[in-house]
Amino acid sequence: MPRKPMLDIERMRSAEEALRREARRLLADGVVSVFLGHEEGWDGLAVPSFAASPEDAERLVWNPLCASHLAKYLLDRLAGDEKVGIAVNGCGSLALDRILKDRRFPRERLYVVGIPCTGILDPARVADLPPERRREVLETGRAEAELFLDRCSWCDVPNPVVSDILVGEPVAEEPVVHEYPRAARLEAMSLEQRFEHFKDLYERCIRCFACRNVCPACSCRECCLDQWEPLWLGRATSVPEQQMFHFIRAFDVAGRCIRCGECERVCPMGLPLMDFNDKLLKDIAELFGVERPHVPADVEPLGRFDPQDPDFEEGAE
Amino acid sequence: MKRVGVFLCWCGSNIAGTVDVSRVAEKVRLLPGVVYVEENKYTCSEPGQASIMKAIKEHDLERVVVASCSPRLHEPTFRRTLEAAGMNPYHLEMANIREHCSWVHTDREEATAKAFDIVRMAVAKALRNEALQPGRISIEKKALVLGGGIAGIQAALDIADAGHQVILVEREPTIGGRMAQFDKTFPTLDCSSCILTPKMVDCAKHPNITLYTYSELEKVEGYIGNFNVTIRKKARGVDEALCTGCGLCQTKCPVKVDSEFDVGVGKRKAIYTPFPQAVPNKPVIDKENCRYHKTGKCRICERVCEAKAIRFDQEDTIFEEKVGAIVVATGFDLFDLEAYGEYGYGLYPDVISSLQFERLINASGPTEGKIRRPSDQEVPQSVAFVLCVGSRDDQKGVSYCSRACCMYSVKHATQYREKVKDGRAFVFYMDIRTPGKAYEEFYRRSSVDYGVEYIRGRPSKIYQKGKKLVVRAEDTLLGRPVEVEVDMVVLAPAMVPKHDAARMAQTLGVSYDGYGFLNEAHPKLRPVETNTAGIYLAGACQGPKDIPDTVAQASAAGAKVVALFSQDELTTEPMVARVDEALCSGCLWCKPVCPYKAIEAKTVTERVAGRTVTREVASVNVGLCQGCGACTVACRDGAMNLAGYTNDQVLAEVDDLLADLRPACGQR
Repeated sequence: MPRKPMLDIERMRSAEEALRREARRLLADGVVSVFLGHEEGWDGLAVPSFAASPEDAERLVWNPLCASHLAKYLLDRLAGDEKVGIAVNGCGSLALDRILKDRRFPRERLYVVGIPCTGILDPARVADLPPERRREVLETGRAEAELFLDRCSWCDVPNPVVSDILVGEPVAEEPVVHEYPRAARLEAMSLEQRFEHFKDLYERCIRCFACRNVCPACSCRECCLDQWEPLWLGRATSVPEQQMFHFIRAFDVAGRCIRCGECERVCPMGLPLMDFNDKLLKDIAELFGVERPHVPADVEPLGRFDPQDPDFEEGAE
Repeated sequence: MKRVGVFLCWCGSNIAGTVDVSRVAEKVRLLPGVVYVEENKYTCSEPGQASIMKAIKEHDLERVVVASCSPRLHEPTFRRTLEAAGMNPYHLEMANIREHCSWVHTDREEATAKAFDIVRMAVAKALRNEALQPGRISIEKKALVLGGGIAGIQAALDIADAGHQVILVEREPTIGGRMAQFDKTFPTLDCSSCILTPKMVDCAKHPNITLYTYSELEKVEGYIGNFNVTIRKKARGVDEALCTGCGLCQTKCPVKVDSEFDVGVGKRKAIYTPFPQAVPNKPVIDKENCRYHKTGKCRICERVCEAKAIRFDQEDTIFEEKVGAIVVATGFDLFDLEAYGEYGYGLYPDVISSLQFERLINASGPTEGKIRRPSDQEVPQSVAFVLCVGSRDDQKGVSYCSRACCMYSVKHATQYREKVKDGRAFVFYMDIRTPGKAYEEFYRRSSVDYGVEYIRGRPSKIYQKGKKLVVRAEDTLLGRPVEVEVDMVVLAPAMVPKHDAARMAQTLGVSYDGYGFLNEAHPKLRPVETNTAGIYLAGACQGPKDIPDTVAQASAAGAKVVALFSQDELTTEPMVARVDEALCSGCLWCKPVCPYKAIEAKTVTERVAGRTVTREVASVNVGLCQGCGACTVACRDGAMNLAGYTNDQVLAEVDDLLADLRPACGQR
């Protein structure tokens, strides 16, 4: 049952106010040395902000265009032992939890300001609107469902799963029956159609690695795509290499994908990258009986040895 | 580039019959790095191995590829060949062109092309093979034997006789196991306890054996040569050091319950030794039934005990032991006969199990060896023995044959005919299976000399008719239905794994099959080893067995332990996982995927940007690691590498295979 995302501009304004207040306090009291949030960038877009002083905190915003997740910027702060403040909404907290469950940043060094969320717009879709309509949407919050991020349509985490303090009242949570339309579309294709579909994807990929850079599950110390020895990925642009790249990308995050769809959102070529992830999520849901495969767990289905595993046949040699 | 020699085997016509080996040789000659190619009819033969050694010397080979059968078969052979020629044995690479090619294909053209691909991949990998050195670990020369039945007793005695310390742990209050319950043993009909009890006493008296009865294994840590085991010694309620085993407490105890040892056909007290020859002959208090434990009043046993050995408040003790090897001899359970509602077990008192019958004919059993049926204590004038109750039944029971039931039922029928001269014995069977020394002769005798009547057919129903039981079946030899009226029915239940076999296997870290029997490492060639080094199997915990097979396997397991203990140090397989700490991001996904619990977190200290930082990385215990590679797959950082199958080596194989498919600029 798809959920209906909505914008509540009033709620966002008061959350923004509280967020600035909290960030100011944390920076002024020296609780954190830097606070990760969003600020207004070019053409009204929300861009990541790294507030290092109480004055910087004044620039922080929380508005319908704050689509990007900030958790991955934590990896730039690994050295040192200062505390870092970070603002997360529901899905942003999944990204943060992914980093935490992958043990890539210590929870003790975090101060998490959680923002309950009712929906976020896809900045690219808003940018395509005529200027008047765009202003109207952002001021009144009256936005069609198509303008929201894809992940808002099935969101079952409106409230952050990780936080030290909440700004704003929690949003009522409703159970969501998860469907995987992208995977279903793939499954409906014949083998040849599917091959053509992916071949088209491989051929158009320019290997800019934006999908990797934005992915909260891609947090290796040194990405295998950058390694020379062994050379996992040949530098030449050929279908087998593109294929290798996309297989690596999909399978490295299999079982850890939070279904945020950021990879697809940031792809400059508009490739349907979530086709891979949706299929993997669906398979994990079905094969391992996991209801919410996008929510990080302490032990993931693909991350354990279990003699009860239906595929496990010991002594078979 | 390393100098590679390639040796292509015909394996008689096994490979050469489907693969044009000479054509493969021609193409292989052109591969980069290959300086020598040779064909042999049988590379594994003495001359074949000699020519490898000769070629290594003459052509200064640095890597050797043998294209023949599965590495499971001859990899050790050729590694030894390389070693004998002064090379590191891990510079060998096997290309399997038999099982993976000639045996599974019929088209000569395609099989030849595939064989070449397999060999070229092996050459690509061989070029990157590194010299590996085995590690060394110490061995604690003390064995743990789990289970004090005939299997455990035999294994313990064999190991102890070789001069090594043995800890024998038994869950029940006494050792002896199933065999102690039996009356006579087929096919020689010698008395079971007469041949068993001397061994039990030997065990108790042996200076090298420490006996822990009424004890259970709690935890196992460590690896071959160095296991740390935790044992729980359950509270007996009796001070074993003081108790003289006089048995007065048992005589006076006012509580009577069904005896487990007599399988419900006899009674025991709340303080009891299971049977007179128990070892140790010290009673235990059954807390669930003891009147004092239930009501707070009684203490009769305490009052009559002259040795003052009763300890109501005794508690379980838990202790650790270090052992180098473990023999698992935990035995079996019997199939729950009530699953066959149509046979009326549990409904009609005179439908009993074979084990209950065994107690009825036993001179030390509840009827002192007189066959009397449970309902009215009359001597049955006719008895039906029903085989395969649970065995060989996909629907209600298990698919396998329990192996011993034919023979013990033949024995039961013979014994019955001996004791009740004019009685009639019917055996309902599907097949009579007698593969053993003097087994078939024993079976023939039962029918020719003792007049046991055999009816081939699985009964469809057993029902009561007055004081009689009617067994209805189809005689499949005559092709017509039969109904036989008898006074008693004996059902031969399937042998099934111990109810907690799966949990035991998980505690030990060994694998088990779909039924719950523990898996041997190889069904033919490694029948007493498990896939976990240092843990061996004996008896019915591995699969249904009769006594001779059990004893043979127990001695075999004992021999394996003694062979292990004959060394002072153990060389470990060098093909284990290694962590590249620089790449490891410390997510530790590898830890829960490791079946051998070989991975732990480790803290490393580094200098980063002028400051000292500590972080966690994965660390592999090479003693525990079996080189399965599960961690290398789980590792998204690519930090986990399996020596001998490194990412680099495997990628080289794939690249080489795809080399023709990709555009020239895509080649590496």
